[in-house]
Amino acid sequence: MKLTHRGLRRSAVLGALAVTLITSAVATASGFSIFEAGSRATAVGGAFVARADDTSAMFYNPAGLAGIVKTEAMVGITLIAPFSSLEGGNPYPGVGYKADQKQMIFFPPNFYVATPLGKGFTLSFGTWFPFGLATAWKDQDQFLGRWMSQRVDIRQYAMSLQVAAQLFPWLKVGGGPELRVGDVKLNRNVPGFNPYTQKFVDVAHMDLTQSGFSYDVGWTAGIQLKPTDGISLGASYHSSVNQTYTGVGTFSQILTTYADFNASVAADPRLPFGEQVNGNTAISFPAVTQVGASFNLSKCVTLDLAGVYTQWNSFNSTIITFNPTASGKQVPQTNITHNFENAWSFRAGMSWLLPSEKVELAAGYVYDQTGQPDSDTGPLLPDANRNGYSIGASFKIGKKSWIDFSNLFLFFNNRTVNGVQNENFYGTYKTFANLTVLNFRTSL
Amino acid sequence: MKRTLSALSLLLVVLAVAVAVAPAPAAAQDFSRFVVIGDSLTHGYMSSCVVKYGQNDSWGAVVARAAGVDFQQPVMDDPGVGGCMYLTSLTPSFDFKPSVAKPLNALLPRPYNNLGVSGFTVADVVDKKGDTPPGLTDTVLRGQGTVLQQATVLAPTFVSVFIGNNDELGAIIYGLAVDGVTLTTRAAFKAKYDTILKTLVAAQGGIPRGTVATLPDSWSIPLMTTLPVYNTKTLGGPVIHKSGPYAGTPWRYTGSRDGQELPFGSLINLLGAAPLLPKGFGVACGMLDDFGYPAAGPLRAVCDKPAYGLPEGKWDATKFVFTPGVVAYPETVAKVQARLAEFNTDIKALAVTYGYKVFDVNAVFTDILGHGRDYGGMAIKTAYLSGGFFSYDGVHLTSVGYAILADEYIQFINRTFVNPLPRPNLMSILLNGNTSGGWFPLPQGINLSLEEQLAFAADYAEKGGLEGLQKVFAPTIPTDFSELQPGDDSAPVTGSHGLGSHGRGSTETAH
Repeated sequence: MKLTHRGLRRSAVLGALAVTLITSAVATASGFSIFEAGSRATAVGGAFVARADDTSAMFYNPAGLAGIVKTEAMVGITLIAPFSSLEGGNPYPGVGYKADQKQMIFFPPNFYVATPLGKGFTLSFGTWFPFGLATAWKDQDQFLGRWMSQRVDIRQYAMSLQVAAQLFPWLKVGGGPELRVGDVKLNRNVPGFNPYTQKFVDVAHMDLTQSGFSYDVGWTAGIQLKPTDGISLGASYHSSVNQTYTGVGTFSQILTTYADFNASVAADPRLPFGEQVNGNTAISFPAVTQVGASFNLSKCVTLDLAGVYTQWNSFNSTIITFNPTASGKQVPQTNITHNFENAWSFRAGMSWLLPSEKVELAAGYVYDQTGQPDSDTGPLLPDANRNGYSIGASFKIGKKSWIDFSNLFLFFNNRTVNGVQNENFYGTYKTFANLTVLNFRTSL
Repeated sequence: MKRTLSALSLLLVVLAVAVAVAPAPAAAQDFSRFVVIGDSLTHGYMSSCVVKYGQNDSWGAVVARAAGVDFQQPVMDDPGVGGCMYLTSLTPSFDFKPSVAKPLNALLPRPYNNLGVSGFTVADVVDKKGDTPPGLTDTVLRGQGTVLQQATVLAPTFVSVFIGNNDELGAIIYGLAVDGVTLTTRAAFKAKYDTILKTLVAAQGGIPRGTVATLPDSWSIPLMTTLPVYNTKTLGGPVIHKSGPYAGTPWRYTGSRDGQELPFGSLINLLGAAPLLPKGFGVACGMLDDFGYPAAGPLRAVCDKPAYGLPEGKWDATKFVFTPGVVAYPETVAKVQARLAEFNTDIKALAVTYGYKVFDVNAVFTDILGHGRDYGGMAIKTAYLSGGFFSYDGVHLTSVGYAILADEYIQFINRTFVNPLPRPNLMSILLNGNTSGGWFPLPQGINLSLEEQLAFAADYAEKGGLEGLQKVFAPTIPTDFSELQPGDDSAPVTGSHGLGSHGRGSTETAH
């Protein structure tokens, strides 16, 4: 059977759904949030809450989908390539020390489909990655922060079923539940003070891996107002979610050349070598509020503005609790204090639909505050305020489909931690990330 | 025009007055001639000796490196002076390097910047010019006068005074607080400290530039806190009272005062008690009964006998002879605590009088005792051997400990003075033990097979795991205590167990 253009569209959509479930993600917006859920939105700096005129509105503003007349679908992927390095500071790891994160590329996908129900109502379903974090340091067994983190992965993706309604010609509302699914991985080495050599050495390696996935349900809502032709106002809200993770820890011993020291480490009641340790933790993901305005400066040119408020103060601490092992060993509770603060991002963008109406160009800017205080900035998550510059283009294919392309150049401010850090790990983090978002959208 | 001139004149007058009364901007601190005065904690003493591996990272040297200034010290080459301890097993057991004085910097044509002398008291800083016969003191002073005189010669641009530990430590570690014998009187301490600061101010041209330090709690050192008052050794572990007022609690070691159990709050000198416990010292007959010890067992001959109780110090006022002990009873501890509080009060008051800033070492040590310090996931604690802060002798710090002290001091300087110093780089010390490439070359561990390691671990765990570190030491600790001279009421006993000469304290060649 020859695969038709329509069949190709359907296959791509269904395939993307499967891919969505298994790929990883990395933080690009403040903290570990990911704001790049659609290519056209990314092209205008993420200032999409007021316009929200494609199916990625499920993330930016659920109200935006009200009143569509045909089923619309969009599938896409974001390629994220971060580059991050550390220059050490005194007292530790010390001036002159340099380390780089591993070069990795992440590709969180997205998928949305919306169908009209009549009388201005729309039903939509979509998946995207609202949060994600992956940091991994090169030469992890030599990295001087290896006792804090060698590698951490936090993934959370959302699945949402939403309803939008056009209540009046100038008023749309929308919203629905969001199922958040996530997992966590962490590995690091464990140090010990060797009384023979009077210095710190590696005595163990720890891996924490989640068992299965963690689930929680939040919700989202949005409103869109068109007070006059050419002006659109929008606001949306994604609720906070508290996710509990259950996982397994394994500890493997790293031997020294001192047999009795090795034996004393092996006998340490806090290190259950050769046993699996059940543990659990919870992470509070913040609520996110978007407000914005969109102005049709002309028939073809649109200006979008938005502010995004992320309530990071819910991310206070991460407490990892372990159950006693079969042999009675007890890994001590781990308390990581974060004390994040609420943060704003300010976004602006402009798009230009060319006269052919088959090409749309866009550009945008974002200033994104971090919610992470100095005290928490470290190898596990070195966040910083950032400035982003985006460009994008959309190309019409046939009568009903578009291919969207955008690129966001994200320049993080150098983040120097020097004075207050929870584990006295100081230095300057330098980060840059390049994000490319590709979408295929069509109406069915 | 007239009005304008009047207004201008008034403005000029106002400005002149403002300049005259405005406080002078704080002078930036100058570390070009940085001098430190103190005892073994300043000298760089650790694990019973003075040697380059420790001295190169004395807290004064770490601060000087951060400040980027020259800092000369009386560095000793291998094997060091005092008999450097090194660990031979986690039982624990130690061996000692020979004590040989091989100074590396003896020909410096001026006083050292580091005028810390092991064993020194406040009075020694003012009065002492050397040892008789010559000893460790002379490797620092070199016949060029007292510490205070030499500091004056240097005319320091910034001075740090950290002295007074030996004015009370002896009372704790030797188990008796006797004014003028093991404990300097308050009046004598204050008078000498006053002389020190007065002289330093004069040497600095009348403008005090520097700091003084309070004294840490001597009763909190691992030497005195590692061995618990509970008897964990004699019968292989604690034995619980089956009856009586202490029913349900472990039996304690007995003391020499009356052959009865030591009261709670007593402190035991780990290294001092080590050779006594295997000989049956500190055994209560009731403990033997509760344990089910045989009626004819050898410990029955010594139990409850005062002569076989762990000894506290003894002072014979008629003969002026002090016999060191190994137990500080609670009243001794209380007396030292009170005296230390007085010393620290006087240090702070004298600092105000003479204009020096006070670095509260007492608060720093207390905080480290309670919370440790964390650097990149490496947790430094004060536990003996495993903690990383204190060295093998249980009194002095490791290089890690001295570096942390230096880091705390720099942070204090940056809070207090104008030009901030960069914090020190601790990476090399934390991961290599020091900046000199490590302690002595050590014998590598025995290569046990996996089965032998597992058996060792099982045995170790059965005997209390890390509590094995509190077991009796194997080597014999020398006990050549010196006698006091009659009439010397300001010099506490230090002898070869003073803060600075733990273990083999002479400079003659040993072995």
